[in-house]
Amino acid sequence: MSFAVSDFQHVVTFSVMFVVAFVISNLTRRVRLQADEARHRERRTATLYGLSRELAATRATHNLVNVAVQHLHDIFDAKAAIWLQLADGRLDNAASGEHAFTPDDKERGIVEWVFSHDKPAGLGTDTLPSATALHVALRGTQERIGVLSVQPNDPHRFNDPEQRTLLDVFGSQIASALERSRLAEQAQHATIQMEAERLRSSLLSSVSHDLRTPLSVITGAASALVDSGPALAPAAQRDLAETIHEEAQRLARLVRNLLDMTRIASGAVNVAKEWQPIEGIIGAALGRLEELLRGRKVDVRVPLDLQPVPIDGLLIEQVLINLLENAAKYTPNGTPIDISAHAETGAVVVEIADRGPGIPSELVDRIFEKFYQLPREGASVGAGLGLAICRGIVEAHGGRIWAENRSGGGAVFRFTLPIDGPPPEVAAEDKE
Amino acid sequence: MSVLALLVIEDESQVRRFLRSSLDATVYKLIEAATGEAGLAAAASQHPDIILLDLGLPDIDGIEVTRRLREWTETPIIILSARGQDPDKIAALDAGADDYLTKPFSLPELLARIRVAERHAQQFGDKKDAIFTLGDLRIDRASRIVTVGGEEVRLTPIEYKLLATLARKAGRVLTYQQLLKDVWGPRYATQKQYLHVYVGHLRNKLERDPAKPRFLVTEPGVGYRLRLE
Repeated sequence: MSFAVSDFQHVVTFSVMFVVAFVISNLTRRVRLQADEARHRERRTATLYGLSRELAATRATHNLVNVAVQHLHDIFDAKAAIWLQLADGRLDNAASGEHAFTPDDKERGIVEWVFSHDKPAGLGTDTLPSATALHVALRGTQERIGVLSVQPNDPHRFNDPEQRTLLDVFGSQIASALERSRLAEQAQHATIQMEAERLRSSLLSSVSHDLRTPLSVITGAASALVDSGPALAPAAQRDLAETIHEEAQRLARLVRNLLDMTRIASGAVNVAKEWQPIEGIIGAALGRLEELLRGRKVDVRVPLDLQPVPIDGLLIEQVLINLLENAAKYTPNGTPIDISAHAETGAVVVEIADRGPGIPSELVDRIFEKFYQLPREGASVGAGLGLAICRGIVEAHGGRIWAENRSGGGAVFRFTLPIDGPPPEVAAEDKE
Repeated sequence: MSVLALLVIEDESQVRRFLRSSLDATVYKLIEAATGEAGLAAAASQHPDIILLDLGLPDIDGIEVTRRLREWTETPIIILSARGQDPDKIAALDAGADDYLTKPFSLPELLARIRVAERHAQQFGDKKDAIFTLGDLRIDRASRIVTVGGEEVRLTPIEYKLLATLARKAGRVLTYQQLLKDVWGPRYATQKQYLHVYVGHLRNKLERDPAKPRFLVTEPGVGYRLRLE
């Protein structure tokens, strides 16, 4: 037996087998390559999908930047900086945290160049390849909005064209998310501005009258005292002085409400929540209104075991003061006021009820609007801001405020203070 | 009764004028300073009995004035603050100021604060009485027995310490931070929930109507006060 190939037929057989093997191996390789590429594509798609999904779910600009930096770190094993153009034209690095990178002055210079020329530069490009990071412009649909800087741990990473392409896609995703949030923020800002403008103009018209009345009374009474004080009977002098005192207090209340309202409307109110019992705040509000409520029976009912609520004590005190002042203003002297608080699911409800004339039912919702005042006999009594302030403060706490008429006559104002989560623990006292 | 020297550090001349014309000159001697520096100098040279200090001075802020005064004197300081200055007010109280008044304030309010400050100034350095009484509340500091209307009230050690701390500064506001540090120790300086819970316990034990406290008054956002009178 020999392995010599002598027969022509064998030669043909071998050739055919060789060709077949070659073709098959080639095909297999192609299939494997395709599979590899498909896997790769899938991973890339998943990555991009993950990024875009998270970007879409994120609102504020700085949150977007954080999401982007995190993803850049996960995908490219890199630190990143995201430069956004500020209103004054300067570029500012919005990235922070452990995956953010802080460039030196040289890199900063490249960033400025990239932004003004709208071309990539730095690592892996033809322009200044010695830099430690790759800088690409972030382009929105309308304009350039900033620059993305990526500093990979492996400096050769962006020599791979596929990685470069992936980064470009990342860049455009980030840019459009940032642009979207920037437009949304601008729109919101415009709304706030408009609201503030509207408030200013209505304040001016409504308030100029309300400020002028007490001022003219004070001026008149004070000048009478200055000019002919000694000539007046003691009772008349006292009368004038009391008038000045009352009008000054009214003015003080008005100014306080105006300041509170402008702060609330401009969103400048900072709610510093602390877990505390509501009864202390009720006590404090009553303490401040002792004079105003003299001669009324004020009944306070708060269960001893009522749980503490997370509230800003000063602001909620203001709500109670405004509601009590209102009750005192709109109900006859000497009629009782009932204050109570109780727990409901997820909230504590506070009620202030009076036995006055009540509220015309068609106006029950309108009274919380700015500048709205119930028609009342006699002179105007304020700027109609007290209840609007209450609503602003209660809503800033995530609660709701409303009014109803009481069976048996009178009005009741209720507001809820939501309770989220358990109060912080207070360790039991060691018994000595 | 001797004349009480009152130093008012306030840049608004109208407020100084109001004090000058409404405070009885036979009882109070008013020393005026329009800036923080002038106030510090006047405090050093004229030894006032009580200092009224405006928070919004043109040169040095009131917190700093308080700090510099407290480096060398225990003279009672009453802060005059406007609405919206709450963080500064609390900082000044924590820096050693004794009490505060919010503008606009009335003369009776001012006089009440001055009386409390005067009372504490007199006690300063003296031996304190072992017995503290306020209405029907009685604290015997020697035996640590607290009674309301003659009936003994059982307090836990922390409750007693909290009540005694408030009583030592009766009539004056104590900030959250001061109370937490004094009663629970520095580690608890931010744990306000302890204070709220224990004041609640004290109210339930001492007040006839805990929802309308006569003694233990909440100062929202600032702290607590044991109310005199």
